[in-house]
Amino acid sequence: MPTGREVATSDPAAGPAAEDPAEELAKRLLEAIRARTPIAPLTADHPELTLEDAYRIQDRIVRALGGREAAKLGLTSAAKQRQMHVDAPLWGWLAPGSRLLPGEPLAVSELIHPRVEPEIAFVLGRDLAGPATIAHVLAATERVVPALDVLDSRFHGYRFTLADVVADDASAARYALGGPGAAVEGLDLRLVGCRFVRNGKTVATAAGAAVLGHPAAAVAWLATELARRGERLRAGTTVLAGALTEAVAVDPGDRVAAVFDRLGTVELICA
Amino acid sequence: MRLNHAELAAELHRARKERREVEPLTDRTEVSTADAYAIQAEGLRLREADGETVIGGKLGFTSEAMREAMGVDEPNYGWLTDAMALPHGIVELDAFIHPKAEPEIAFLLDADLGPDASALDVLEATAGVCACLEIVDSRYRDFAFRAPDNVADDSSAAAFVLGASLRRPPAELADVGAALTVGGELADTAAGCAVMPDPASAVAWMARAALAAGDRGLRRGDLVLSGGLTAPIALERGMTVMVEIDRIGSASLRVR
Repeated sequence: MPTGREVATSDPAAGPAAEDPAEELAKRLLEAIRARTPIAPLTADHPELTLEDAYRIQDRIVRALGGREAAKLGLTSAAKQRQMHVDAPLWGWLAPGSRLLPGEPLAVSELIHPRVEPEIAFVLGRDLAGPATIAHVLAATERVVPALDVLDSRFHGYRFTLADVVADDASAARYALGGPGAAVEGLDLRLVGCRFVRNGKTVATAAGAAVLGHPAAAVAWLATELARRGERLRAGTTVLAGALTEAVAVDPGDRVAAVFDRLGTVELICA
Repeated sequence: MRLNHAELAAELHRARKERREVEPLTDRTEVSTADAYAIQAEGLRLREADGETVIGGKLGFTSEAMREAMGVDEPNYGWLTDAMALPHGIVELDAFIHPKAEPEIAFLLDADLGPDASALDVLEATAGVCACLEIVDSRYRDFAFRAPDNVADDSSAAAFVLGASLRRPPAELADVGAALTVGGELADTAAGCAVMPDPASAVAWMARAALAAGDRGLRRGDLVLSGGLTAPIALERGMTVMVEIDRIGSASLRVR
């Protein structure tokens, strides 16, 4: 099992708690996760929340949930960035235990309103420090594998600002990896085709370029951002590079699959 | 009332030549699918009389989204002539009414397809596949029509640009990825099975349907455009469009 656990940066809890709303806002989100009940966006009563504040809240949540097992990127499509009025993606961390093992059903009742999206996951064979380019990412990648990212925004109706969704750990909830996957040599990841299927019906098709023009560009962006914080992606880390299609909502009994050209298939059964 | 197929075909033929929009036929009268293909065939005769030669066919309504929007459960087909090839990838905007481009996989056949053709037969009869940008240009006002109108109008066929290389079709033709860029910016992506259920099956459907309807079938030497992989892009002056398809190649055009 790959683990990307490392680097606790500076400890935000060391500051004067009374002046830092991060603690209280993180508690709100953790309570929403525990109670499976959506809440209002944090920016509703904290409109001043910056992106840096949001990542500090995220750090607290990730620590409370047991740390970093895999990384994930969000807002990696031009369409979603336009919709959110931003020009960069965002990242979050998937906690230990959030990976659904092959055959393990997704328990929908454990979540608020889960949505699933197909992604290409990079399994790093070497440390990846930033600043990084697509070439650095490909050189550090052991395999690329089919993935399904299960989102579960802690906010009502998936309505949030950029700061809200960053604080909410990029809506991270569960994920599944499939196979067999492939080494990146000789693959043009921009043109790897993907068929997204729900209950036997193709709901969308796409190719890797839907992720920032090249899925490795999303991983390079993450490595570069982490470098600014004195962090790096470690060998063995899995990075879900961002959605190739729109997410679909799932209910108990649904079966969702993503079929990737050359990489294989990943499936999820909802219970 | 019996429709005058020749008269309606002549109206669409004039609209094509004069780059003028007309009202949908179904706004005026009831048009069956059989009527629509009869009008299409009359229209093709008029183009042949103008000196054009049929060089293959094209599929339309191959995506689930398009079929739902049109209320149909089958694709449709039209015909390509030599006059529609744009060998230099230059689209003269003024030569069309309101052209759009769609990325497709084009098949070149080196054997005739029979009335029971399967996807496997198509692949066996395929000399090669190449990337293609099809220019569609409905002769109806505002590109608005019902399914039979579109058939009568040769499935909006107008022109096409082919990629520079012909390749053996990859075994996973249903899964190959395609990326469409406009002015260098990513516009859309898709996989082969966006053409339902896959591009070779679509070509087989056309061969069977055309022969069943008493039309010319698909023959050795024919070029067949297997259907749009993404939604079409409305063309504007100065625009560049490129499609790249994995293991097949790329095709690009420039609008002048």
